[in-house]
Order: sequence, then structure tokens, then C-alpha cells
Amino acid sequence: MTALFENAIPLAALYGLIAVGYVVIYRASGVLNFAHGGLMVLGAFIGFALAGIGIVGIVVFPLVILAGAAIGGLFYRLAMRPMAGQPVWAAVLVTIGFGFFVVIGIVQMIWSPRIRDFSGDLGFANGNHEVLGLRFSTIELVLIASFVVVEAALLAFYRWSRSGIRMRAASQDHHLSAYRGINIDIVFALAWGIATGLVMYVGFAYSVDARLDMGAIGALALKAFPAALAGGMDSVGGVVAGALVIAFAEVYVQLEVDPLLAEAVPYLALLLVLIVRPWGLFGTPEAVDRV
Amino acid sequence: MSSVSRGAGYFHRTYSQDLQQVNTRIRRVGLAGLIVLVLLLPTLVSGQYVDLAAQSAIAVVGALALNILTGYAGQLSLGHAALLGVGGFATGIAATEVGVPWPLDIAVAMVAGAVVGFVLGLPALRLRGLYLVLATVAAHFIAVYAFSHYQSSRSGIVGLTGMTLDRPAIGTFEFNTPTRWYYLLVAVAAVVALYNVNVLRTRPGRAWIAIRDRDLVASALGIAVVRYKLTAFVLSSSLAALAGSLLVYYNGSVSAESYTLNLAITYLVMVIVGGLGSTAGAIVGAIFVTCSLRLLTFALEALNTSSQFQTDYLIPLQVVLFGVLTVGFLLFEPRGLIGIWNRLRTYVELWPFGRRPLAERRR
Repeated sequence: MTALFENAIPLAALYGLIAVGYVVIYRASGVLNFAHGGLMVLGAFIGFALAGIGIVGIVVFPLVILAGAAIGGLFYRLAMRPMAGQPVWAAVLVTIGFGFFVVIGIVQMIWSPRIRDFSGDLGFANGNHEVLGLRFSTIELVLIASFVVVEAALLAFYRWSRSGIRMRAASQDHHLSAYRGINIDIVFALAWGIATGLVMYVGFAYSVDARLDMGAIGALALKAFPAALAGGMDSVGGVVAGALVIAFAEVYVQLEVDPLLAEAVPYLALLLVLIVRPWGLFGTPEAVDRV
Repeated sequence: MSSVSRGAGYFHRTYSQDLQQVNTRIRRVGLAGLIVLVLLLPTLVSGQYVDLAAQSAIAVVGALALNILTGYAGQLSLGHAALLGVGGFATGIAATEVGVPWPLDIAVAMVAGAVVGFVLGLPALRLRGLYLVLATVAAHFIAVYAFSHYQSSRSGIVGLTGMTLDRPAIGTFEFNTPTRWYYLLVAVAAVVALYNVNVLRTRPGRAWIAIRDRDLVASALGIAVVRYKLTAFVLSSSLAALAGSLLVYYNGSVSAESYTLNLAITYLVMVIVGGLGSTAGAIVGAIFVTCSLRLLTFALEALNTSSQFQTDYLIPLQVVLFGVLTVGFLLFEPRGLIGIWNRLRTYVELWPFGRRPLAERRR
């Protein structure tokens, strides 16, 4: 029982953080961003490169987020903005081409494709802590705390801040909000920046905790799709429920049934959600493109 | 006989003229030249290029299969690698464990592909667009789980590296050289291409295009959307399984690790780079994607042959270039290579020939 909670809660935080990135971008531009895996790898390598030149571990995290925000905004401007007017799947394929191939290839050329273990380079020990009778590593606790903070911050952002309200308006109707004087380019670039900064930070934190394994990170990013969809692709709060359900189901199967099957569990859940309730637990039914 | 005369429009005076595929002298000469070139290719180039050509032929079959589903019926799928895998594993199981003789196991694989395609198509009856893409991604990973589960349940070397297949043979004629393979694969690819061209002119083909362009209108016009969507999935999956089957015979082995999401993306990119919804486009795209990266590798290998250099820079460079190719085509030429070709043709027809081009060309 403790093993289930010790493994599933950090995994839920990981899925949740990645899935929130999907939701922010989906709400803004209606695009599924398949580039998250590649961006997480990029975040990890940028983080370790910064740590390698002697920057203290604590400072590296905000720098990675800033780098991610810049990259996300730039990616929107250079690759997503020109896709306006094209079918949405074309934009999705652009994110696939960028995330699966361009970013990964460049990272491999600069830093080598091998699995790396950097956890010693950071200047602080990733120790174990006991919380409520469960043992978590420092980074796992940081990830769980980040997930809570990010959820609260995003909900508040959408609810009260001017930019957040603009973002909501723009996602409801691009044209109408543009007529009312909202600069939708800036709003969307902001959404891409937030999401990219977030996932690059998650990629870095995850690689500190485990190892920097591109294949594992890519698989993790894809398995966060079921979490986002189960909660509702357009629901920031729903992600919490989606991530918990998917993570607990996966870890339960991993521990009790078959580790190989556990890899397929999120996708089985995804199919189930798509068939039964495609808009997810907390999403809006109209947001789904159904036949 | 010629249905096109200079500067006079495009007249098809009889129904048989309209049905003709190769209806002008230029087309007849071009087709004959192409056939001669394809037949003579193994005598013109060295072994590794014949090998590349054979792989391109398999890719053509796979891309044509995906083109039915994505290009004609408009159902975007990232489950293509899983279908190739179904073909591969069905072949492997039929040949090595059940003992089905050679050409029959490919037929078994196609039937298996059709069945899986039917199941894969069921979500498409409820979902479209990005949600369907997610469903096919999920199907991909579930299929890959099934493959690796099957593989790891076998004992010994099969459990570790997958099944190995004997070289197929007709009588005493064994397919053991790239050249022999090349002719077989090109023949199969040609048949599949011909089938593709013709199926477009049948009722299902027209139904697919109607569904792709607007499924609501299609159903209002009395097209059985559900039936034809499933038909597209079944046909496409069956042909994909054929490609997967040929691929494992060509490689001589089946292994779950080779069916990655990247493979599915590669096939989708072939179809898009060639030109979505065009048979010629799928063929050109498959050949272009298969060859361009490999030719680049050959060139760079000639410059520097250390294997360290290859793993550190060549393979990543291929990956980057593939991504740039994908993004570049989507951003700057969404109609693909066939779009470029049609534009060039229109340009040349207007000047110097002064002929009014057709509004839009497909095929």
C-alpha cells in the first residue's frame, strides 16, 4: 500500500504538470502540443549545461523556466502563427516534427544521445524525507509542491488576472476577442511561453531525480495525454483528477499485475475515456470535435 | 486517339476515353520510359542502391496504404506502425509457429491487418480530428504492448530479439539477393499503386473523398459514412499489413522494438511531403523520404568513416533534417511535392504552350 502511494503520487504530479501544459496550449490555440517530450529533454540539457558552468542548483530552475518561456514564445511566433488558417492537424504535425525530430536531433548533436546521469553535478543532495509515513525524495516533494502551486496559480491567473481573462476570451472566440482589442498574438505567445517554461522545468527536475533518458522522457510526455484528456482537455482543474486516476491505475498495475502492461494502462484509459466521455471528467462537451 | 490537342481544352469524347489512365502520347512514352528505367535499375547502380530501391518499394506500399485512409478518407492516423507490426507479427507467427507456407502467410497477415483495422476504425465513428489522432496513438501503444508481451512470452532467442524468417522461394528460385527482392517488391508496389488509382474511381473511392471534404454533406447526400469509413480503415490496414509483411521478409526478422511511434510519423510525413490525397504523391513522397536521408548519409559516410562520428553526428543530423523537412513542407508547401509539380506544369502549359490548365488536378 505504501509502495503504491510512494510511486503514484510523484507520478501523478509529473503527469499533472505536463498535462497542464497541454491544457494551457489546447485552450489557447486548440492544438495538441506533441513537442512536450522534446522540450522536456531540452530543458534537462539546458539545466545541466547551466549547472555545468557553475551556477548554483537553486538558481538553475528559474533560469530553465525563463529559457523555456522564451523558446515557447518564439516557437509560437515562428512556427504556429504561420499555420493560422491551415487545418489544425497540420499545426499538430508541426509540433511533432519540431519536438520529436528537430529538438531531439539538435540536443543529440550538441550533447550526445546516450543516457546520462547528472544528479551529482547540482550541488545539493537529493535526500529522502518521510511525510505522513511515506518516503519521497527531495525532488519528488518539489514536483508535488510545484504541481499544487502551478494549479493554484493557473486557476487564479485565469480567474482574476487581466492576461488570464484575455486568454479565456481569446480561446472562446479568436475573431471576436481580436475585434475587442485583445492582441491575440501576445495572448497565445504567452500561453505557449507558460506551457513551455513549465514542461522544460519539469523535464529538468525529472532528470535530476531519475536519469536523463530521452526515451523515458518522451514516453512520459505522451502518457500525460491520457491525464489531460481524462480531466478534460480544456479544464485546468480537471487535470488534478485526471493525473491522479491515470497515475494510480498505472502504478497499481505495475506493482500488482504486470510491469509491461502498466506501460499500456494510460492508453487503455485514454481509449476508454474517448469512447465513454470524450470531453473528460471536467471538460466542456462542446469543445469536442465529434461525429 | 489523343484526347488533348494544343490550345483546345481537354476533350474526352467517349466514356472509354474518360476511363483511360494513360491517354496521351506523352503519358504513354513517359510510362514506357519509367518501366524500362525501373527494370534496368539494378544493372545501372551498385548493390547498396538496389537495396535502397527495394526499401523504397516497401515504403511505397506502406505510404499508399496510409494514403487511402488519410489522403482519401481524411482520417488522420498515427497507428500505421502498429499496423505494419500486425502484418509483421502475423507473418512471423504464421510462418514460424503455425507453418503456413510462404505466399499464404502474407495473405494471413493481410486478413489480420483487416481485422485490426476494423477495430481501429471503430473510434473513428465517434471521433474526428485531434481526438481521433489521440485514439490512434493509444491504439499504437496498446498494439506495441501486445507485440512485446507476445515476444517476451516466447522462450530463448525469440524472446530477446524476435522471430527470424527463412528467405522465401518460388520452387528453387530463392529471394536472396537485393536484385531479386527488388523485382518482387517493385511488382507488388506497382499492383498496389494500380489498385489505388482504380479504387478512387469506384463508389467507395468517391465516397471517401466526399467524407474527407465534409462528412455532414456526405451523409446528407446519402453516403453511408459509417460503412465507408470502416471500409477505408479495413482496406488501408490490410495493405499496411502487406507492407509490414514484406518488410519483415526483407529484413529476415520480426521484433517488437522496430515498431515505434516515429515509424508511424515517418509514414505520415511521406504522404504529406508527397501531397495528401494523391496516389502519385504518396509514391513520390515515400521514395523521396526513404532516399533523401539515406543518400545524404552515404555522402557523409564517404567523407568521414569513423563509427563514433556516425553515432554522434550523422544519425542526429538525419533526425534534425527529417524534422526540418516535415516542418518546412507543412509551413511552406502543404500541397507537397505533387503541388510543386502541378504548379510547374501549369506554368509551362500557360507559357510557352498557351493552354488553359484545369482548375485543379488530383491523382
